[in-house]
Amino acid sequence: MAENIMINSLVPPTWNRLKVNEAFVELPEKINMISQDEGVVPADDAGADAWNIETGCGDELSAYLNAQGIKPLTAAANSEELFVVKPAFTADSAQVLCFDATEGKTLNILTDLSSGDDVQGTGVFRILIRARENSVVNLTQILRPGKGLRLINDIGTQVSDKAKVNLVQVFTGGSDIYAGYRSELSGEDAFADCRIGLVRGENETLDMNYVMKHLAPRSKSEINVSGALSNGAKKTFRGTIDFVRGCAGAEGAENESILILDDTVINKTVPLILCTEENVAGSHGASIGKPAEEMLYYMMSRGIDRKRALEILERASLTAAAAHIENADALEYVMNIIDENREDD
Amino acid sequence: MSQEILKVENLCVKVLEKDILKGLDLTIGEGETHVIMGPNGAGKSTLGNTLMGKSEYEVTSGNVTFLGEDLLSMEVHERARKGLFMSFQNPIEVPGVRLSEFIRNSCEAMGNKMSLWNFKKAAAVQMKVLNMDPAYLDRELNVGFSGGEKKKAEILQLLMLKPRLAILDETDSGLDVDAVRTVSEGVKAYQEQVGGSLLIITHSTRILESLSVDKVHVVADGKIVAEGDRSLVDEINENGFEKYIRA
Repeated sequence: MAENIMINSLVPPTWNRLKVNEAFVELPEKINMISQDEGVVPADDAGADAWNIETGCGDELSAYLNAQGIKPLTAAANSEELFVVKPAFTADSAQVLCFDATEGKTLNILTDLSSGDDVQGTGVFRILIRARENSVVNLTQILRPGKGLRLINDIGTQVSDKAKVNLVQVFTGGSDIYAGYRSELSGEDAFADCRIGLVRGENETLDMNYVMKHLAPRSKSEINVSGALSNGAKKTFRGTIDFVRGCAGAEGAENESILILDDTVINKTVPLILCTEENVAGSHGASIGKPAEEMLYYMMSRGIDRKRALEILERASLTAAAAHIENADALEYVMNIIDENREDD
Repeated sequence: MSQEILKVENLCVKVLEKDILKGLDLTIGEGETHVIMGPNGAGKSTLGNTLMGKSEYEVTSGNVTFLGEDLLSMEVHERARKGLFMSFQNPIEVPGVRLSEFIRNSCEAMGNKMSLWNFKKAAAVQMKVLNMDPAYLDRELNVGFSGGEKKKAEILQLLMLKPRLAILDETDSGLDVDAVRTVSEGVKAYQEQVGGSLLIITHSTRILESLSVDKVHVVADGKIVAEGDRSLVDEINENGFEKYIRA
């Protein structure tokens, strides 16, 4: 029997009538573990316990994956060379990957979450990252599942002293996507950065929950979302910066810039700053609306018609995020996909 | 006069219910360079934006013919495709869109589709004229550009798009002497390479120093109140616009 579970919960909840406190998703009775990619090994039971890191989607998804016997796979990436993961989603399948960035190391990871149009069902992809002292993890994700695959993409990170986790996500396809992210900034001067570009149209939905939990002094976090919605798309973004007592000098900022390209879309934004420490700086900003006529006039004065100008602005939402990809190979990979979509126009 | 390219007859324009242009007439021939001068608020930029088709500018009467067709009935992008270009006084920032992507899309819209390789080669040639680092092509359009860089990016577009008539709206405003000289070199290259017509809107004259000018028009209170050859520029430099405002 299918299970209805709660994911992407807002902590603490706001008014129920806003319908943003959480998302419910029906998961299949049986989900298969995606066969191992090259360079990954299953964690033994003791190892699996060591990867008990909280994620953005939350505990109910963890319990479901455990009950389904989805074992974490420990990725052997431990060099600056780009580690590419392309899970082969079949109907109702899941994979959990764990990355341990050892002290002082840099890891470059790219995940390409795609599927053929013939794949129907639910795909769950989870990444757990432990960034140890002075390490850097550059995680790039491109999310472009086929129309038949409902995708749940879930991330949990622990960031130690002076470590950095840079996440760039580019959402270009799929009909229903749920995205969770949670970073536990447990080390002094730890830094977590999220750059997200999204384009949603044709009744596509995207439900997002991003949490930055500041536990240590002078830890920093940033969430930047740029996107464009059209043609019946629905998007909910929850962004939480949680300053816990003891994180003096911590700074967190979240910004969202969403272009609403027509009147058929639903856009919900829930920025949340929680604070039990006095000496912190938290900010949020949102710019949500139709493209400025001045900008369209400028573009049209160069011969570009209105429709094409809007397409260019849509694409710009993606490239604005992609511009923050640190690894040259990952950048080229993502830009090729973005450009491929342009050629398809 | 060479073949007529633009004819403006008795143009009256309102902006936010205020009459700005009050019966302006202007004719520009193929390959000619015309200069519009005048004090602040005279209607110079209103003329440029009205010709380009900005929606807030309401034409209450008059006709404009461009290359034999009714310009006022065309959409903004149609005017551009027909061969009209405007260098903006305050070029707009477009985050996420690279300069190269923008110009390449513009060229494509004009019917000149180029491979990335050919585009970069063509752009490099024009960027050399403007003393611009080719790395600018990968920067977001006008985002974080200085005033001079923005104006150079406008002239780069002029050189790449090769329009039949280019309106330069206060292209020299806010630029230092070196930047004006570079921009002026770019405009001169347009005259030489394309042989197109120019309508230069300015209230300073530095940009004109190295350009050949066919006619100078003085606009005051929404009308052309004086016309002459290049010597009119010198006269205005010496005496200002006061006598035209009084008239």
